[in-house]
Amino acid sequence: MVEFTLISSLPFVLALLIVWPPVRALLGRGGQTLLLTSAIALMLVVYLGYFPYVANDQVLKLDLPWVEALGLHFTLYIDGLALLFGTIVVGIGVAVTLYTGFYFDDDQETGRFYTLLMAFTGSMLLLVFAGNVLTLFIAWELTSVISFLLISFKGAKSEAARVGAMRALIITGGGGLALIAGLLILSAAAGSTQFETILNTDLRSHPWYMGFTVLILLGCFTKSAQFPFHFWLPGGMTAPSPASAFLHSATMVKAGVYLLLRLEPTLGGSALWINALIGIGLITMLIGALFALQKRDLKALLAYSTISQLGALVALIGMPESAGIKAAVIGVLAHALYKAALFLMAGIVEHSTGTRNLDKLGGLRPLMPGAAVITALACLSMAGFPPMLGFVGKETLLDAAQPEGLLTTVPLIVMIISSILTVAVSARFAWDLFFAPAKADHHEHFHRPPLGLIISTGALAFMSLIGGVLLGPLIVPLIDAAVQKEFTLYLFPPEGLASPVFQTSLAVLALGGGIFAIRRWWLTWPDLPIPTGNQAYEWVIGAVNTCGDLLLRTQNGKLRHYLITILAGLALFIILLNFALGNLVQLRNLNFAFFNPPIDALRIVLILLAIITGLGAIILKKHLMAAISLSIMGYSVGGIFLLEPAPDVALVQILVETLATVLIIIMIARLSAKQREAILSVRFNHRYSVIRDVVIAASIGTVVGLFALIAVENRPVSSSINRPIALHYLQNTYRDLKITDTVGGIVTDYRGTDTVLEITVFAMAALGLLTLLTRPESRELIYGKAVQDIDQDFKKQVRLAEQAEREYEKELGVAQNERAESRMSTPLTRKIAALVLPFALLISAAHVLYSGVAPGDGFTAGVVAGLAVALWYVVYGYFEARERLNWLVPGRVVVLGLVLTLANAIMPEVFGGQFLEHITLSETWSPAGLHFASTLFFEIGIFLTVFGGSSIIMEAIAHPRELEERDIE
Amino acid sequence: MSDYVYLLGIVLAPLTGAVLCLTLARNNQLQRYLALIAAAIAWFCSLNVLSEVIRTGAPVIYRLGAWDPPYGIVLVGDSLSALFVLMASTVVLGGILYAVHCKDRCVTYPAFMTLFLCMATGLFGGFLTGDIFTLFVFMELMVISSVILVAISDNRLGLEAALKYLLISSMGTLFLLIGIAAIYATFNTLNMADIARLLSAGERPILSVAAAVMLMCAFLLKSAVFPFHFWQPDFHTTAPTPVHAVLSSVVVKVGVYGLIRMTTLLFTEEAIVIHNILVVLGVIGIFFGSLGALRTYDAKRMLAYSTFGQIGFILVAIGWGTPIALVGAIVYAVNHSFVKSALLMLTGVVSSRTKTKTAALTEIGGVGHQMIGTGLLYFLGGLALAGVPPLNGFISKVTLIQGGISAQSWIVLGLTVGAGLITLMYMMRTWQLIFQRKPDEQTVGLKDYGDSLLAPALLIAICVVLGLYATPLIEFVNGVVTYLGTPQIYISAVLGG
Repeated sequence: MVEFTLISSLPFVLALLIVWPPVRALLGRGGQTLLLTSAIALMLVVYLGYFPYVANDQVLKLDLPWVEALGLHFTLYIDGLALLFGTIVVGIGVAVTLYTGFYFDDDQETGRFYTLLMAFTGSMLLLVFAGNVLTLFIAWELTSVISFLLISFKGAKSEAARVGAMRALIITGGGGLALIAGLLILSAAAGSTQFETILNTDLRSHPWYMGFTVLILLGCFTKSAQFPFHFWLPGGMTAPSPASAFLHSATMVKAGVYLLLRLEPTLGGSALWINALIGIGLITMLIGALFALQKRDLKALLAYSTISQLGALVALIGMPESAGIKAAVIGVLAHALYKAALFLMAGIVEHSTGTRNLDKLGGLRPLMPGAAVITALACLSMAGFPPMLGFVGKETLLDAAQPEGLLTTVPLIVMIISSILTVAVSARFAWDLFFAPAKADHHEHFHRPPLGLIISTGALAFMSLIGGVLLGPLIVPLIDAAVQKEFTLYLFPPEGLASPVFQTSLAVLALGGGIFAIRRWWLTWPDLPIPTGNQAYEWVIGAVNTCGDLLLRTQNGKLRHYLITILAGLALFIILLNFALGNLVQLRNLNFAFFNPPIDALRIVLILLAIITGLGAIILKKHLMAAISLSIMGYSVGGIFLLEPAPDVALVQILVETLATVLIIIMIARLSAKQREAILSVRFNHRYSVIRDVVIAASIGTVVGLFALIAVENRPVSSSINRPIALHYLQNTYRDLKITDTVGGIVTDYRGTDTVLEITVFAMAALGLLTLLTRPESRELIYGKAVQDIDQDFKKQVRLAEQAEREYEKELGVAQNERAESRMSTPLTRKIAALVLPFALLISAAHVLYSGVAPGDGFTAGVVAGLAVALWYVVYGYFEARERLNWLVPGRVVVLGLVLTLANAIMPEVFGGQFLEHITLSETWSPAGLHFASTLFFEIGIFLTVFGGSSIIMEAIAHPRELEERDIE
Repeated sequence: MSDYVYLLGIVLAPLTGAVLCLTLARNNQLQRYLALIAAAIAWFCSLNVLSEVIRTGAPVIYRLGAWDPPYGIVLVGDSLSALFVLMASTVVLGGILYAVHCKDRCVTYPAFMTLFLCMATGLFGGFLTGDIFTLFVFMELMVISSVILVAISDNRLGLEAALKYLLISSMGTLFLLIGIAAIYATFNTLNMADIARLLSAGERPILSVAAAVMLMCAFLLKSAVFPFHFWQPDFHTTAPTPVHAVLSSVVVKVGVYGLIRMTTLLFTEEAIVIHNILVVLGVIGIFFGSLGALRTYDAKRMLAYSTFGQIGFILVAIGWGTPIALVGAIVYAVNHSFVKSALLMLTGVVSSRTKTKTAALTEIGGVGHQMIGTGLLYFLGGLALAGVPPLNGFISKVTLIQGGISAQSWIVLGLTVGAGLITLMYMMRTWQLIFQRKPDEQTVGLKDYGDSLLAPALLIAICVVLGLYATPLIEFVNGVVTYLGTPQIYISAVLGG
């Protein structure tokens, strides 16, 4: 069994070998042909030799674990059926491999094709030998993918090839999705992914039977080109002829048939199975034959004839009591032999004459006598002429469809009609191509096909003859191994001419000949008005595309719409979850103690002030007033914090409020009144938009307010299981840190990592701003259609741009200075500003040094110093301030701060402690009440980062470049 | 209580690297290699954490500042976070490797690598932290860094997209902050293990549901799930290629990770309702994203939409709620990260060869005709994304379907599997367009050199290996899901006792 596995993996090995260009070059085309053909031929001999081991329902097995958790094993399960299919694959494979060596004009193409061909052969063998549904599926998908690549083999030039390949991939890939779902459900139902177990389980009565059977059938029908999915096969005829012969008639399209045969013992016989297979199979058979008759293109004709034959096979597998299995197996073998030969012949004809159109071709017999004989043999087999193997196939087919009741006469009639049409198609292919007189001088460019092409095609055609003549010794043992039932097989029935099947066969031949004879009449008919499936496919694809376009319209770029949708989504989820969990009801039981707070005049004043100024910020029309009103609201809230008492929070609140107010005021000053009006008009562009905005804002306010109220009212109390962390901090700060300020302790110690990260966030925002401002102008950026042919004058453009920029900045600088002087710069303000910065730095130093014992810390220190810098920009104007502050490079300050922070955090770790561990450097030495610990460095780092960062932001906002837009307006 | 220092290393390596890069602002080349080393150290540390978790079979923790939980902040490496952080650090390493040889102008800016590493810090920390407020801080770091990275992108539309994301993301920040406030107000603790302990002890204060909704919405927004997805296509598409590769693959998984955590560790009772919401949103996302990818006009944008769809698959699997389905979700999330980042880098390699650095489908037809290696890798990546065997996407698909079978959710399973076909359509169509056809006459000439193929090739190799040799991943994730079934292990590992 190991030997068998190794030899079966030979194609994969060869594919990996010849995928390397050096190996290809070394072997040359002849070497490749010789090597690959002999390898595949060797495999054929070995497989034939294995037939005795699988006779009498014996099975060869190999089971290697792969991904056991998924039920994926590398399992081979080789019974007669699998071995017969494998033999067909390598049997046809030998001829196709030899043929390929002579088919392409280009060595490069030959190598590429050989690689794909070998990979396909390996995958196809894995498919038929697989003993695990997942192994089978892997091979199944591999064949689809390689088929995609082969159909689009000439895709570089041919649009049709690409479209055809895509269509084939979508149909077979879609079927593959159904198949994998079906197989997994089947495995779940059977409790195993191994065929050995599945085949011994009766699943027909399982509740999921209907589901997985339909899915598996979908997979098989798409792969085997059954109606209504059949149209991908003619579309796939853009593949090179050897690929068409191998994949699209002999092997890959039989994969569906193979899987049906494989699963028939365990799934077959149900009403669903019988009706689906016979129904779809017969429709496919008839439609295929009808279309084949009309086609002018040789390969299209063969493709439809293949579809017809595949339909017959599917219908046979669906016959009740497994009556059609024998016929199906013989049909697969016979069809593979003659159809592959005919496809290869179509390739030869195209190769020699440059066309495949039957209307242009004819009278080729004198030019290619050998080819004529070969075609005649293959077509006789296709038509079912004794003593060809195709005749045996047709006999068994008609025998399997023996009428036993009224209903079963329908299949028989359809099969007879299709057979008659097939006879006509065969005659048309052979006669019109070779024996009818030539239509025109289209054979001027005729060149004789290489002998290799003729030999490889001839071998297949002669096998059709030999298989028929030597049926007993040659074919019967193969079929015997594959079919589990007792059966009889003969070339001519023992009853002789008295046999009704034999009589029917002869009648079919005669009628088919008759139809062929009157072809001049029906060839002029218009195309049959049968929906081809192609239109349905196009319609579905169009509908899918339309859906996509409609969905993309929601991506309209309007931020307002996005935000509204997001809030609506949030509201929906709140409602859903509350209803589902019954929490809304509990709201009624809440008792808001909020309404009887400790009465306190100052508190009431502050609250009222906050409410009034909050409303003022909305109502006031002057922007400056609104901004100031907003900041008063912030200060009031800070005041409330102060009363709480939470001095740390109050300090931060007030400082941040100041910073924000300064930023807003500077920005307002930089925008013209006109611009501000324009912004306002955008806000109220629609009559209802105000109402909408008010509703949204009010609902959010209500919900968040409710949250806060509930939170305040439901403060957890210390219980046996809950020990609030806040309490722990308050009780233990001094013990742990030797400092009295709990907030400071939380910020720099207990939750110091948060602080490290937050100042990094702050630094990144500032650095990002810096990068945005100092990066090259967008006109230099290379993107999109706008800038083409950049190479020629790119540098010149950049130089010009830079020069213009410099002059512009100079002008602006003057203007800015003048403006600044006239507005803010008085001798008094200049003096004050000059004094403020050193003072601010002093306050900052105090905040940093005494962060452990008093409110204020590195962050507030940074903001205070940053505010002083802001004042300089306001008073001195951008250029003078930059000049005076030349010692301050904010970027470097930020970096220094970050380095200090991180170094301080990492240091304990280096010396055996923990990241950010609190280290008291000296317990005793504390000059001026200073607590000397690692946190001191941390605070300095925070200060530097925040100071540098806010300076960057100030500089960015004060930068005159922004004026550009106003001047444009 | 023993602290596992490699846990700290995962977060600290990129953070230190970021600061060091700043000090080397003048030497761009050195910055790039420094960033690479930092990412490699983080990757090595995460590998160590994973092997330690496997070895001991229990979560490892690191107490920052040596404070015991729940009073201080802890990093927790359990099997789930160790897996996600290893996945993330691998992709980040790939992204930085790509950036090292990237020809984009923005990579030459002094702050680029710093921002990239800060984004990575936020990402890794988000997976590792055992403290819900620190999660918020890490996410902020990630958001602000990525916003700036997109704003300074070579693509001129980056600034607008970054601004929009900043505003939308601040909504997410608000949700998260309110959720955290609600949790703190009701439980008076921020440590996730402590919250889980209180919740599992039967404490159901009124705000816990509100907190659950807020956290869920914040995570959904981070993962760009319908109806919170609007920012994603613009923001991702305009990002510089190496950043896009990280954003669209692992950064969006932070939300997924958060959802898994909150449904298995914290809100196990509310999980049933959350699961139903996730299934619905997932199905919408699958179709919205896949159809968007099919119809959009740009190869990078297509992959951004595709991420939108793929997140949908993961959400559906989480929503099915069975252990097998959760295995599917995690396996899917891991595999998708490698495939998506590789595909984005390959698209970047192609568009870096065009003179206008474009990925617009109308302009890159046939551009890759001569790029055999890139074409092969893209083909493999496309098949992996579509779930074609024997690549890793197939493993994801099988686990996903098995999850659906275990949940017996037939209609959703059908929709999910069927939508897989759209993935196959857009990937193969784009492959044909870029690599198979010959370029049109009017296509602008190509540059002789572009971005390096090294990083995407390595990532595709991971995809192939994870496809052919999936047993370790599957078995590990099986262990993860079993472990998630008993949150008590996490709680006692963090809180002791």
